[in-house]
Amino acid sequence: MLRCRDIGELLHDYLEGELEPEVRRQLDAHLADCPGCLSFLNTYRHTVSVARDLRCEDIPPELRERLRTFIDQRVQRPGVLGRIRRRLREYF
Amino acid sequence: MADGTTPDRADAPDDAALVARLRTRDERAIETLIARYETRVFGLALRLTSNRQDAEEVLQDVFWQILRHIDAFRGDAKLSSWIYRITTNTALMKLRKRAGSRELPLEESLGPAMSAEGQIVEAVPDWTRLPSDALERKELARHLAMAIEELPPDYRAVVVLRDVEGLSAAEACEVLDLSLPALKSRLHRARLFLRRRLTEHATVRHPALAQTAPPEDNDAALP
Repeated sequence: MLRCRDIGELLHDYLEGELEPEVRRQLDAHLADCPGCLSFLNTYRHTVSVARDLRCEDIPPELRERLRTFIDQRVQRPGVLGRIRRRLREYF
Repeated sequence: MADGTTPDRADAPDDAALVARLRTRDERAIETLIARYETRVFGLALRLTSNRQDAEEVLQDVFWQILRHIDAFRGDAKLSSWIYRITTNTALMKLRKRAGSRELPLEESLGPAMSAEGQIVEAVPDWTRLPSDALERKELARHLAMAIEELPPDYRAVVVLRDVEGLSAAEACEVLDLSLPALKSRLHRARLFLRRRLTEHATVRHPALAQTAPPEDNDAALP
């Protein structure tokens, strides 16, 4: 018989769908009978769901530009002769 | 892009081939690396540092570290995990300089109050039952972002990698060099803290929520 205090320990695996079937059944039975835990689970799960909205979907163009300039200035790129030598090594 | 990456060309190399080409300082490989990971690196850095200037410095530093140390990348981890690890460590170093040391309250005090027998003894407002126009998701996301900024660095890293970036538990463990039990424990406490902050916000916006009936009689309709 699960108590409200036990629910917290199970939430991670519950949300991941990784609970053992018997434990899952007990948890579902507890939730059906305990409005406090159900509210707690709903708000906990929604918090996790909203977090995904914070994922950055794009990077500002000026940052892209400055990043490439920064890297270009630091990478020691071979000169024309070096590039030709490298190409030749690739083929022979 | 929905997954935060710039689309590769159809003939773009996979990560293993990309690493091999990066070791020769191939210019197109460097561009492919940047295009493939810049959004993820910047997004993670921004969420961890909460500061755009710091995040840009992390972004540049991370790609420079990758190129300098690509020969040391052994390939037994995924390239993405290695990049997440460099980004997290670089961002957390910046954050720790600014954030000082903070502690999260104990788990018991982050969740609902419990009796000695382990039963909830307070009303738990369910703000997810409010109509969506009463508590907009964008508003919740904004408050959640502010709450994440309150988290101590170690907790912030876990919740950002798992819940914001969507890494699997195994990959987050690898990035943070944590055991799975340690990761779960930290993640749970961070989520409890964030949930509490959103609950506080929801009950300020909708005071009637706080008057939700106690658990024994929780059928009262929400406003």
